[in-house]
Amino acid sequence: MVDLIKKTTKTLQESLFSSIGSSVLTIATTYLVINFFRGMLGFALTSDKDWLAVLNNMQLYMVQAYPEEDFIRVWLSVGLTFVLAGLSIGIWRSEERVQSSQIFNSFFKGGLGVLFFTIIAPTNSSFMGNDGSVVTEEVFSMDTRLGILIPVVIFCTIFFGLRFINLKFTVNGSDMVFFYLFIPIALIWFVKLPTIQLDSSNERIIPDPLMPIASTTKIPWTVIFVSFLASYFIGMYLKNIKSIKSAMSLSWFLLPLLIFSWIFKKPQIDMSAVLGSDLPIFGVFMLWGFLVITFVNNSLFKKYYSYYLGVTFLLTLLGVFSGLPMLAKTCLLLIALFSVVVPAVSTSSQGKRSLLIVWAVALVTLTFLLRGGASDTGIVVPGSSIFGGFSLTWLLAIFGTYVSFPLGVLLALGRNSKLPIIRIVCTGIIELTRSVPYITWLFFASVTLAVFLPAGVEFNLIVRVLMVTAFFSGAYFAENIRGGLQSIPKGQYEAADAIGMSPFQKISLIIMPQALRAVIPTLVSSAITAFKDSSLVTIIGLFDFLTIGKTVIGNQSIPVNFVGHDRENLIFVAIVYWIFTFTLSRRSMKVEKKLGLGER
Amino acid sequence: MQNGLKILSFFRNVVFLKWSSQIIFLVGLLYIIWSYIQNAVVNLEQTNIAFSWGWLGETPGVSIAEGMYTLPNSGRQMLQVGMLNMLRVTVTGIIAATFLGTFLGIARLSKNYIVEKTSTGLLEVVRNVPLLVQIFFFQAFVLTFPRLEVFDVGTYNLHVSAKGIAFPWLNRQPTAYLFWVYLLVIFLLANKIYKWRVQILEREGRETRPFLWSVGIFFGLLVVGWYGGYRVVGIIGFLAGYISTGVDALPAIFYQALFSSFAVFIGYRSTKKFIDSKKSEEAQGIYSDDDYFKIILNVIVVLLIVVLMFSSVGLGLSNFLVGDEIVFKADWGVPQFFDGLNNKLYWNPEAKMVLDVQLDGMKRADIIEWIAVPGTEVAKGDVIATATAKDLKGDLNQEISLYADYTGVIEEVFVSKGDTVKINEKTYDIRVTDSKPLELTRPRVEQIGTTKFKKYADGFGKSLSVGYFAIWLGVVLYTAIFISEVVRAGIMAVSKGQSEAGLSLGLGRGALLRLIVLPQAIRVMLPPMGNQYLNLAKNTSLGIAVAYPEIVAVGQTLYNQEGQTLPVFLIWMAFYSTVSLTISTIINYYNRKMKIVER
Repeated sequence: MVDLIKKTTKTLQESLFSSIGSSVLTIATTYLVINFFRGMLGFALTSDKDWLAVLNNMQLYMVQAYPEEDFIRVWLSVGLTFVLAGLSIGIWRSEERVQSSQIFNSFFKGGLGVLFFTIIAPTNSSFMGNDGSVVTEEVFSMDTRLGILIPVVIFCTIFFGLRFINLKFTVNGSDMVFFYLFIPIALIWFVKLPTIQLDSSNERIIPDPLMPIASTTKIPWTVIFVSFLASYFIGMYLKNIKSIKSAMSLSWFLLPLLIFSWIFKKPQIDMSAVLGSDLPIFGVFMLWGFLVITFVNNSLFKKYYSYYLGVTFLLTLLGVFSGLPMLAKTCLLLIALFSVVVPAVSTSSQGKRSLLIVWAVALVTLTFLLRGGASDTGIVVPGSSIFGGFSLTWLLAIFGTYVSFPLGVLLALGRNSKLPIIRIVCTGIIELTRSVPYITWLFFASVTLAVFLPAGVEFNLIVRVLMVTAFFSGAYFAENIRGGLQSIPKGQYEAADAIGMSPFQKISLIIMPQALRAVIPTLVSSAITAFKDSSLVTIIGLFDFLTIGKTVIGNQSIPVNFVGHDRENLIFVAIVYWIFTFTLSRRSMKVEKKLGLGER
Repeated sequence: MQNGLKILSFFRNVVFLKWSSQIIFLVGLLYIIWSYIQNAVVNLEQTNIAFSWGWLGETPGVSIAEGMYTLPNSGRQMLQVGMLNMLRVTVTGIIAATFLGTFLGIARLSKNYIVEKTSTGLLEVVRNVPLLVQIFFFQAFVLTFPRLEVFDVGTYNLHVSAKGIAFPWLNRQPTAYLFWVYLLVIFLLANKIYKWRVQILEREGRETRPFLWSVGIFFGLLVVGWYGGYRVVGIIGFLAGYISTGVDALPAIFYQALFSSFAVFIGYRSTKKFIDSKKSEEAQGIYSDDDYFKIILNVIVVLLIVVLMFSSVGLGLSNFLVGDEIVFKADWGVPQFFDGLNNKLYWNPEAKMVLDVQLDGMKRADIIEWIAVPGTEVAKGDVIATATAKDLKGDLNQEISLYADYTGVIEEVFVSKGDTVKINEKTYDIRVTDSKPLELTRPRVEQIGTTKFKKYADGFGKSLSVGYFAIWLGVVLYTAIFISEVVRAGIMAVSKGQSEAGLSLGLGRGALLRLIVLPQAIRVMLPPMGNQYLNLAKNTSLGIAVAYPEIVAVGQTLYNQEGQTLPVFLIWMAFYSTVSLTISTIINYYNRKMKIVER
């Protein structure tokens, strides 16, 4: 014990008071930091802040005006995401173990943090009243301070004491995720907070009565947590099934599409159209794809392969400019591209099988999306925005990345291409897109884009925003990926050429995997930027997470008056954004370390 | 059979395939673009808002909250105000963010635990919260202060209200431009002297004190300049007066010819250079299809520029430069530029006087009596004349005062009793001598006429509006955080051996950083730093969210008025591209300058 104190004192002296300048800096910074936190706490605790403006509006924050009878769609989407996440964590379960001392240490540090804030919290704080005068009041009484201090000190002592007891065990790193998620789920059931209740004359009852938090959503959240846990165990069980990992990747790829069509639209599908036109088209192209996959490496077929390709391209060209249904046109384009790719992959029976699966899934998705997209929505909401709040922010972020990433890859390849015209066009697109701020593109989407569309074609503002976002983030992704492409030595290209790979094989099997791996950190930071930038849609009037906090709640006067409480909401919004971006950036750092980037 | 094989071989020709596929791609792309433009034409016709640029010359009929002109007389002038407002944030923001970012970056490398953790904490908070949320928060912070009230009217050292923040500031006098040019000249001179002393030091090996020399000379000249020496620069204005008369005579065709011959010259030079490089031993004069394409492309681009210059576009551009442009009310011509130089950089420049501010709807005023005759010394805000203000029809008469806008001795007056002066326009009415280039003034709260609106008086101290404060602080803090990461990475990229070698030579910490670490770190830092500057310039567009009238906000106001969304979007694109290009050119210039000289 004495040694520990001596050691601590010595390190403190060395790191904080090594010279006069250092000591001055230490004291000045400490003073600044403590005063900053005191100010923040005082700001948060004065009686003119109504934090219930945040708590009472969770539904608005999450889905805005989405109709309540359709909430099951949202819950199912969230649940499905969690189930997939659980399965993935189970399948990719790491063998990394967390030491018990690490866990105790983090608890001890958390306790110290609470201790720090409890000690420095100001007793009195003042705020500007409505008439411009300064009001001072007691915000943190001695009793409350002691009431928090004593249990926290005991908590800290216990976890500090555990260091000296020989209690050693290790926990799997993946299991810890569930422990950390378990805490909020348990809190939902047991912790009670003040809530807003109205009496018979629609007046707010003061003081606010205590109610368990999330009283209406605790059951769905618990169900989701349980299924998350269950899918984790199932994932561990499924771990050894062959090609389960590629199946999981495919489901992650399809999930956003499903959720998008699920929440955004309750498609009122015309069954006669499905049976009359969709099913036959689906059948024809399924058969076509099957035939190509099966016979492409047949010697007879190989001989006439170029003729086949020529005829397919001609048919596609004719088909696209003809009056065929949209599904048939898209399928023609798809089969033309597919026919180019197939001979490279369809060499073994396993390759053939997976190609067939990919083809079937692609066709089903396409049919579903086109039919769903063309049909009317069954969801009725006031205003033009189907939904808003956090789901919109999430949708913009995920879809921004989802659509723009392939576009970025294409643009990067085009910019690196040896064909001058394609290179010039791609460079032009990238540079023009990047030269203008995102907000001007958003204005383009909201007011100008409609001008360019043919008469009668109209997209929802959200879809238009997604369209420009795809281009905008795509250009940024392209620049990142180009950096990766430039880092690939020329020898790699030459080696691929030497063993007779086709250009497609060379790019997809040799160049891209290495290039993408080299730029994972920048890609993640671009994705984080896209997530943060999604808040800009508030300027063009979409009801995203920020708009709800800044404008909607700040103007709410029925049933409870929250006018002027936008600062509390802004802080809440900032904290939520912070949690997501911070977690994401920390995760990417870990992945980076795991891949050993920057070490070679 | 023979015939069929020939066709096959033609289709298997790599060069043919390569170019035919590219041309098909280009034609397809152009077709798509053309069809979308066709859509736009049809759609715009249906809504009765045909694409036009005419609105640039029309009076928009809206006012701007802050900027060079608050009541612009044309759409073009309004956009100009927006651009200047954007550049104001960008330039000051870049300077502030660089300093703050460097400071934070060094703090993050500090050995002091608390300093390091605090700067890291700041980094994690600012970096992970969207910029827009931060800007909203700064706005909300200023808006919590009380509004300006009647009892606030007066002069202060520092004043904060819901209208913004005001503090004392060195306000510019009419001679300020002279002084700034003078400062630039003596700065360059001091730089030259530093280099000269360093040269002597390197050649002769004796201590020449280059730093002391340059700083001494700089401050010596600064003192001389402050007490009147800066008027030497007036020679520029003197000469510009003659040039202005000269260029006034040039016709539009001169500029058209100038630009097209310049394009031809550049195209010829680059093509010649390319052909010469092909003649080298290595290339052996063999041209590939790509090389031919490059030459053809050069020719096409030059031809396009020449054709464009002699079309209506080129004529319009040249009319701008001649100064004859009437449609857009532009005063950006070359003669006007030299006229401006002649005015601003003359030894005793012309100065404005202001009319009483209680003038709603009044457009002009007739002078009743001139009080400040030439030779009088006036201070800013002194009454120099009385006048009768009138509205356009002359129905409303009101007696008002005229104030001096600057402190100094009046030398010449261009108006006399009975003359009419215009209100709210850039007219120069007096000439002042003997004024200090900059004058320290304190902020003042004033009431606008008899209305209930209170505001910070223009030209007294400096007042930052809420929008400016929020957007400026937001982009500076946000960019500074990213710059701090760049600085940290740059310093860490310098290998430890370098600083150890420096220490072993007996250099102090400051000298080590200045002479060994930073010069090497800057080389790594410059390209990402340039990216951050570009981001800052683009992020200023968020000013629209806090009602700061920069180019995007102004553009939005304009298209809400006129319905011309597409031209406004094109102007945004052109403006931001120009700014980005300028920044990246400057960064590239320094980058090339700092590059290791490889032998």
